[in-house]
Amino acid sequence: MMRASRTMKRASHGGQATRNWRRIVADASLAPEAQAVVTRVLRRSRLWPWESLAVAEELVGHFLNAAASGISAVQAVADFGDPILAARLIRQAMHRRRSRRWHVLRWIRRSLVGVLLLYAMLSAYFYSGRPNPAIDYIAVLNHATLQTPIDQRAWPLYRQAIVAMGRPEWPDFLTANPDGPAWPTLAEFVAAHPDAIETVRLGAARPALGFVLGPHGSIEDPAVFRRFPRSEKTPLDSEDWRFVQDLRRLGIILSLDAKAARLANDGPRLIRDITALLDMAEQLRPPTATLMESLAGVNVDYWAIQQTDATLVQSPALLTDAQLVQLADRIGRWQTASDLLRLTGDRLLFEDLVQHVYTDDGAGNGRITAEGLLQVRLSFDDPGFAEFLAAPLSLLQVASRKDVLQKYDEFISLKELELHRPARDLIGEADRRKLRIDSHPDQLSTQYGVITAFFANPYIGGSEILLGERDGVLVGIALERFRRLHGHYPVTLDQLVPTFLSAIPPDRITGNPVKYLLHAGKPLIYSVGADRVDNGGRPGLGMYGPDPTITALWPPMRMVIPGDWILYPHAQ
Amino acid sequence: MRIERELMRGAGPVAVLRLLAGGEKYGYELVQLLEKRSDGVLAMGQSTLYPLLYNLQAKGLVAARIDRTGPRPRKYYHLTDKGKRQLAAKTEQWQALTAAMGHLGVTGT
Repeated sequence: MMRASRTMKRASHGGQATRNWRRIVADASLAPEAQAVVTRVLRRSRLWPWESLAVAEELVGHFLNAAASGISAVQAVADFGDPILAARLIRQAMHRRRSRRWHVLRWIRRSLVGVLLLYAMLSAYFYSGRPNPAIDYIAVLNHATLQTPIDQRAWPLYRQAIVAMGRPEWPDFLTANPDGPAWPTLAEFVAAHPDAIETVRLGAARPALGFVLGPHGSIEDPAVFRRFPRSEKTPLDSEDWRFVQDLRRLGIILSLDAKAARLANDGPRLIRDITALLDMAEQLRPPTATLMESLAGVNVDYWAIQQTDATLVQSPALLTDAQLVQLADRIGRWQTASDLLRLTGDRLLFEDLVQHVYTDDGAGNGRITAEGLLQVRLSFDDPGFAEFLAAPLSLLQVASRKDVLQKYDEFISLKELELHRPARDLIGEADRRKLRIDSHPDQLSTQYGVITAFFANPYIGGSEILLGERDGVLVGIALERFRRLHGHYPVTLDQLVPTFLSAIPPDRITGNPVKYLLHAGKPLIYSVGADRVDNGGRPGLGMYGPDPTITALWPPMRMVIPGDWILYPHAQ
Repeated sequence: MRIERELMRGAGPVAVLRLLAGGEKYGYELVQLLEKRSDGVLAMGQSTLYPLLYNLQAKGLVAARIDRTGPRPRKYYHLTDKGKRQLAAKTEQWQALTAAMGHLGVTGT
């Protein structure tokens, strides 16, 4: 109420004052020169009306006093000095006399204007940045493929098989289990496509996969892939690796065919299927492979191990001694996850992404761009106006090109090192935090969002399970060869070394030798599992009953479940 | 002789306070006294006198009253208590300064 009253008073006084300072100057009997000076001072000082009124009265008085003292108007004006300087000094002095509230408001107003100006400059700087990709990473990734003669590439045969077989609509196809209830349907399928399956085997026997990446590459094949409109300017993304899913599908078909061959007592066909699986897995991990490809390779290898396991248990006679030795030699080469997983392709793809997201200052550095943000943002909705306004702030939050490459190199190098070590070494207290990128501080999600949007944590758990069960099958092959020679299984695994096995494989969880039992005359190879307790070869309990691998992994990858990890055999 | 701006910036307010110590005065009166009492040495540009007075007023060293009894309103300035204390302090400082400069032979003692 008081404030309203004061405001009204000021408005009223102000309006009167505005009229009055001019009238005071006009009405005073000032010489025109003096009048001009006073008017100029008052105009330029830009004071509140009542302040102008007070100053007007004083300056008019000054010149009238000078005139009364016999000083000419010209002299008085000269004595007065520079009216512009006077106006500036008067304004400053009057401002000092104003209330603290006015000073605070002025500071806020100036700060806001300053912030807006800075933001406008930041926005101009941000929106003027353009990525300038300089390296053709697609060419780098395709280099080895294009050097391979077409008749040495597997993909032309694989695509031929895919076209011939189509993509069968089996329920839950990628987990189709040869031992599951769908087997009759699956068996019917493989029986109907012997030629296509042979084509897959021929493809697997070729030295390279030969899938040409990128625009105008193998993906431009309407008979195999639905059309995927893409610009040549965008970096490669997971859509360009859709063929990996097809290879997994072909791997499952080979695995199903291996079972069919085993049931038909067709040893040559069986070993060709298992060998084709191992070959196909190799094709999925060339030197420039991505993690996605090599993980698919781990899947395919796993199916080869499963089929070998099942054959050793159900129809060992289908495999000759020489084939067993060859198989053991082949799968025995894998020492650590680094033999199964590749990150080189991811490095190249990340560098490609960075050059499409950042500007390039020519010295290895650059800043995030609007185009780049659109590529790494997690939302697929069109960016709204608020996002448009906020985008320039990313210049303050998002790491520079150099920093982001450095941080990525740090991560990927750590991961590459980890791949060379058994998981049991990584689960130690010191290394636990390094297993997952999302265990790093939250700042990564904004400062290094470019990495977190891209980075696929190499899931060493999958390769660790493969290596563990491969160890079981290696011992299983050695046991079978021992049995063929001696007519019975050994009492201890030591008896296998060195004739049938170079060394007893270590339990991948404890590092101690794997456990061996003869149960009702049948061998059992197992690890003590995540609980590190020897449960006498009893598997842990999963959702659907005993699960041979449920205790294979341990925190932080999985909770500890009591029971042993059965390495061999899995098949009944 | 004219005093350089930097020196005047320090001397001007003290001079004005000193003149006001003799009683209240209006702006033009101060201009004339500064001219006369300092033999023109402290005759500051008149355009700077009024801002100087407003600053002294903002600092609470001088106060003003408007006399509207005459043919036209006239604004008189006078020292406040704070202004008096300030003048005393400044006077002491100036005396010390001039004494020191005198010892150095810069000013006559």
